[in-house]
Amino acid sequence: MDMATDKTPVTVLTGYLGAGKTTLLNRILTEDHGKKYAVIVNEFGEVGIDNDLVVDADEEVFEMNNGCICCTVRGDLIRILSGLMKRAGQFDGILVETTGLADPAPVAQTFFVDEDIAARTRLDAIVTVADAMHLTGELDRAPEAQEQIAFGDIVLLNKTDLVTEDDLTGVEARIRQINPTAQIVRTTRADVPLETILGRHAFDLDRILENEPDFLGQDDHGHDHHDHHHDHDHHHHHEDVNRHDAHVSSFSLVSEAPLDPEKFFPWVQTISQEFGIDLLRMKGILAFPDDPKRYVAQAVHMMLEGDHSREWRADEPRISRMVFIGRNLPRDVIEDGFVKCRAARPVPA
Amino acid sequence: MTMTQKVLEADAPLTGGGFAGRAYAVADGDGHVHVCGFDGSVAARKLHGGAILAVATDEKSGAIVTGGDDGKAIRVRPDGEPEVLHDGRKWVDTVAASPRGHVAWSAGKTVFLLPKGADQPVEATAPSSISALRFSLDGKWLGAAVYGGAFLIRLAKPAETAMLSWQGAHNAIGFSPDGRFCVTSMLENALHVWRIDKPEEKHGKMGGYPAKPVSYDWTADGRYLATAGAEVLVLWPFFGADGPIGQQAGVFAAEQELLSRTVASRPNSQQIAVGYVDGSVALFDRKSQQFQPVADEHEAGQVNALGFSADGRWLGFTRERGVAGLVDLGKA
Repeated sequence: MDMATDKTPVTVLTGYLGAGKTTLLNRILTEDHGKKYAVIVNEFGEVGIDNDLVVDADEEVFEMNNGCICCTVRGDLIRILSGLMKRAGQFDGILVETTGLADPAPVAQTFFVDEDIAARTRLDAIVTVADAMHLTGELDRAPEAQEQIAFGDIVLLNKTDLVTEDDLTGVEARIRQINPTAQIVRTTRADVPLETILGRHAFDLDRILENEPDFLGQDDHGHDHHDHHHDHDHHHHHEDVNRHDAHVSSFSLVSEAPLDPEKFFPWVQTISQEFGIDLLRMKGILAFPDDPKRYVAQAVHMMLEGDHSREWRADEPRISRMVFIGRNLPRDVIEDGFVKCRAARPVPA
Repeated sequence: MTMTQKVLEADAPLTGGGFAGRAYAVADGDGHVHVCGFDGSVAARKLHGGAILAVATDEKSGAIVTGGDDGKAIRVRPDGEPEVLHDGRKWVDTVAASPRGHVAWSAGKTVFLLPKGADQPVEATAPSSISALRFSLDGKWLGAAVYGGAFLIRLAKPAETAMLSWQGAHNAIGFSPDGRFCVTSMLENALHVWRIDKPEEKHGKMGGYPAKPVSYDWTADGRYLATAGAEVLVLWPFFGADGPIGQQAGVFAAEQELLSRTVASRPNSQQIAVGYVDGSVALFDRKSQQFQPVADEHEAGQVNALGFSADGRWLGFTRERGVAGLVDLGKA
C-alpha cells in the first residue's frame, strides 16, 4: 500500500513475445525483497511463490457504450482488482502482465474509466520490456511492438549482452523516435533494481514530464527542433490504408508565450476527440498568463485529464510544452492549433 | 423506536452479508463467515483460504453459500458441516441462492447451477466472464451480468439460454418481483432494463447517475425500483405495461448530500433503507417522504451490503472496512 495516497500502485508489464517479461516476473516473485505483491498474469508460470499472489487473467477487452472504438477497458482486470481489494492484508503493489501481442491502452484506460478502481488503486507506470537484438525487426513489421514502445514510461532494453554497442545506440535511437519521454534502461537478464520499475508515479499529474531527461535536457528556446519525424523508412507505408500498419512516432510542441486557457481547453478537447483513436499518449505542462501554478495534462487516446500542479519556480522559464505520441498524427494541424492557443499580448496602456 | 447494534468488528474487510435463519451472516476478506445472531451472539467460521468474494443466503433454510479466491464454492447449512460444491483453479467470483433451494456460482465465464436436491451442477458458458448472478423470484431464470448484456438460463431446462443484449459492460443483475423485467447496472453509470418477453423492442437505459448504480431493489409492492449510486434516492416506476421504459424517475433528496452505495426495500412496508459512502444508514418512508437516520456512525468505509429479514423486522448492513450492524425496527 502506498501510504501517501492510500492507493495500491499498479505496474503494467508489456513487451513483445520473448522479450523477457516472464524472466522479470520470476525475479520479482522469487527475490527476497520483503514486499508483498500480487501478480496478474495470462498463464500460471512455474514460479515459487511465498508472500506473493499470482492471479490468472483472461485479457477481456470491453468496449464502452459510447460508440467510441478506442474507449476500451480490461473487464477481467476490473473484476480481479476489485477482488484483490477485498482481501485482508493489502499488497505493496500489483503487477499486470499483458500478452506479447496486447495493446496496453485498455489496461491504462481501465484506471481512467472505472471510478471504484481509481479510488483504490493507481496506475504507477507502464514498463515495456524489449529485446535488444530483435526489437528493430519487430518494430518494422509489428504495429503491436510499436505501440508497446509508445506506451512505455520505462523501456527495459533487455538482452544487451547479445548485441554490440553500435547496435544498442541504433535501437535506442529508434525507441526515441517513437517515444522521446520514456526512460530507457539497459539490462541483460531483466536484472534491474526493482525500484527502477516499481513506485515510479509515472501517471501522477504532478510528475508529468518531470523525469524525462531527454525532454528537459534539450534546449528550451527553440520552436521546431524537437522533430522526431526524420526517420527514413516509413514513407512506403503511406499507401497502406490499414491504420494498424501506420507508423507510430512522436513530436513535441513548445511555446514561450503563455497559453490562453479559454483557447487551450476547447482545443485540447477537440484534439483528443478528433485524433483520439491514433493518439496513444500525450503529456503536457502549460503556462497560463498570470497563473502562478503550472497546469499539467495527459491523455491516453480520448481519455484526457489535467489539473494545476505546483507553482512555477522563480528561476524556471514559464514555457508550455506538449509531447504527442501516436500513429501518423498530423503534426502540422496540431501545431497550428497549439500556436493559436497563445494568449494575446497585453496591450500597453 | 429503533435499536442499532454494532454486532461485529472484524480485522478484515467485509465483503457481503445476508440473513440465514435467525441470524445475519457476514463474509470477510480473510475467509471467515461470521454468523451474527439476533441475540447478539457471533460465531465465526473459517471457510476459505483467501478472501470470500461473494456470499448469498437463503433465510428460510438458513443456508449460506460462499465463493472465494481460493477457487472454492462452499455451502453451509444449519447444523451441518461445510460442503465444498466446487474446487477449481479460477476464482469463484459470484454466488446466488434461491428461496426454492437452488444454488449457483460462477468462475470466469462458466456458470454452475446446482438445482435443489441435485448432486452435480449443470454448467453453461456465458459470452464473457460473469460479474453478478441472481435468481428471478418467479423461479424461471438464473441471470448473469456479462459484457454485452444479461445472460439468462431457464431453470426448468438449463440447456436453454437467452441473451438480453446491450453494448457495454454490465456489472449487476436483478429481476422485478413479477418476473417481467430484467435490470442490469453498467460501467457507464447507468441501468438497463429489458421486458423479458420482448427484449429486442422493449428495453431502455436508465441513466443520469454520478456513480455506478450497482445496488437496486424493488419496493415491497413491486411498483418502484429504488436505486443507489446518486446523492438522491432515485425511484423508477414499474407499474405500467413497459415499466420505466419511456418514463421519468422520481427523485428524493435527503438533507445532506451524500452518495448512496446500497439500497434495500423493507418487506410489508413503504420504507427503503439507504446505505451511504460514509458508513451511515437512513430509512426513507414513501408515505411521509422523509429520511430518518438509523445508523449514524460515519466510520469503517461505505455501506457495501444492506438487507432486511423476510419479516421486515431486522435490517442488517456491512461497512467495507470491518463493521457489521443489525437494526431492530420492530414489526413491519
